Amino acid sequence: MAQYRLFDNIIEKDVASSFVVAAKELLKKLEINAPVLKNSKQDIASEGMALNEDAFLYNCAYNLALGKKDDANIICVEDSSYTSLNIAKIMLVENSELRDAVSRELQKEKLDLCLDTKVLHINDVLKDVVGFDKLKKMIERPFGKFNIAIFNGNKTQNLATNDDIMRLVGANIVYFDTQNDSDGYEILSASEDLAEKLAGKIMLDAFDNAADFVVTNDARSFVMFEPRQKSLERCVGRDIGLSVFSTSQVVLMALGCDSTSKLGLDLHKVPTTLI
Amino acid sequence: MGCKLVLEAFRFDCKTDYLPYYKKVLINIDENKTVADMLSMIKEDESSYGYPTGKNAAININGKSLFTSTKISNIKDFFGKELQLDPLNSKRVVKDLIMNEDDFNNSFDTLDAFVDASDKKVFQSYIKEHYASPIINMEDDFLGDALFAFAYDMIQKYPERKSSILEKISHKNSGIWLHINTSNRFYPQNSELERKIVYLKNAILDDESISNSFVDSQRKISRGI
Repeated sequence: MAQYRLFDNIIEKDVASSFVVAAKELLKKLEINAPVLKNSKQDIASEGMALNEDAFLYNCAYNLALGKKDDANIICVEDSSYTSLNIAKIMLVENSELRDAVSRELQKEKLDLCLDTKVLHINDVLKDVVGFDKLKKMIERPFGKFNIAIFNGNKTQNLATNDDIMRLVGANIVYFDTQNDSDGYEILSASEDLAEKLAGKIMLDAFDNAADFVVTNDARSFVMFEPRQKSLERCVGRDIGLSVFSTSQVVLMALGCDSTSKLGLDLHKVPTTLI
Repeated sequence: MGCKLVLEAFRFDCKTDYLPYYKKVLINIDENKTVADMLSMIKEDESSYGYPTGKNAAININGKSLFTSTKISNIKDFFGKELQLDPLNSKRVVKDLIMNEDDFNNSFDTLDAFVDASDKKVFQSYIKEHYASPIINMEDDFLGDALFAFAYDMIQKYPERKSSILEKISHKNSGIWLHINTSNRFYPQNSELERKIVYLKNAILDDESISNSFVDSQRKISRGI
């Protein structure tokens, strides 16, 4: 039987920890044993890769090696860490020079480079490990009356699975022009003003398309849309007032969980009135 | 093989119109023809219709930037038969799909001194990259993604000019730090630009001769990772 380790060292973990809290609770509810991947290196995402590619590859390879050491698949609770680990795998498979350099560094930590460690997105777990049939039977509170705006940014993976999960919980998915735009996170350090203009435009677009809340599975998007929402409102000159959830939180609510601490909603800034 | 397409063609004349509008056009076109051929067919009915021509002619179809040399069969397979035709940047339109490209051409001047005149052809091939970034419309000083892609190419061609080229694109309010990922705005989707951006940012931080307050702060962060 497959072993799992949950990767909790996500980017912006101080403000996006609700991703981890909700995913842990969801996996517990689904009776999937996934202890935290201990002593992992933090995901520095594509933004970190652009500043220090060597560190990016080393951190990812280190985490993959930890997974192998535990003979476990790694479960990612959000998109950035999932993408980082998979990009690093590809880069290291394709470039033997990089692979050898990273391998030598890992040896100093008594770890073996392993590019076979399986990396699963939490959505993959819901689809392939739990199964949609089982999940559907477990739903206690379908989201039938809610319009959900899913923000995908420039991601291309897991989109259909995420849409399927939202439909499974009974939600009505609303489509909006900016759902694949940049959330601004990548230029936040260079221009907070431009970054917030980009994020604010997306949130207003979701609002104007009658969304009741926004779903994102990327910690970076969450950082732009949720804790900064008051600032976005000032930037675009209008009220927004939209809750931002991860897929784990939405599923957990549909499964009947109404504990704000188990859902991680006590870590959010925008008041949630769903429950 | 013939193919029926329903087109929504962007129309705007900066000399006479206050607002743009879309003209619905139904055409029957051979799938082996190109987008350029399709635009030519529109012009047969709408003689005043303006669209870019030449090797680097590009437009947006259903929100994705592409060269007009793209085959209709590929367009139909990816987008379907209902197509919205837009200029690469509607804010710079002169006539329908034709834009004022002065900002794009002026961007080349930043690196003009470090390259040969013949290299401008390479730069011009990146017109889609330039207009795909929304930052172009938000920050007047932004050099644009075309220049960054071109800078990468020129560093490969003239490695001895690497530091000078990198310095030009290293500034906080105009340079590469304002790049956002636009790979999903192209047809076909292309992440080559992102690979170049990662290389350039790493190269700037590795080059100690390049120093400004923002680069220095980023360098400090990169060393702390």
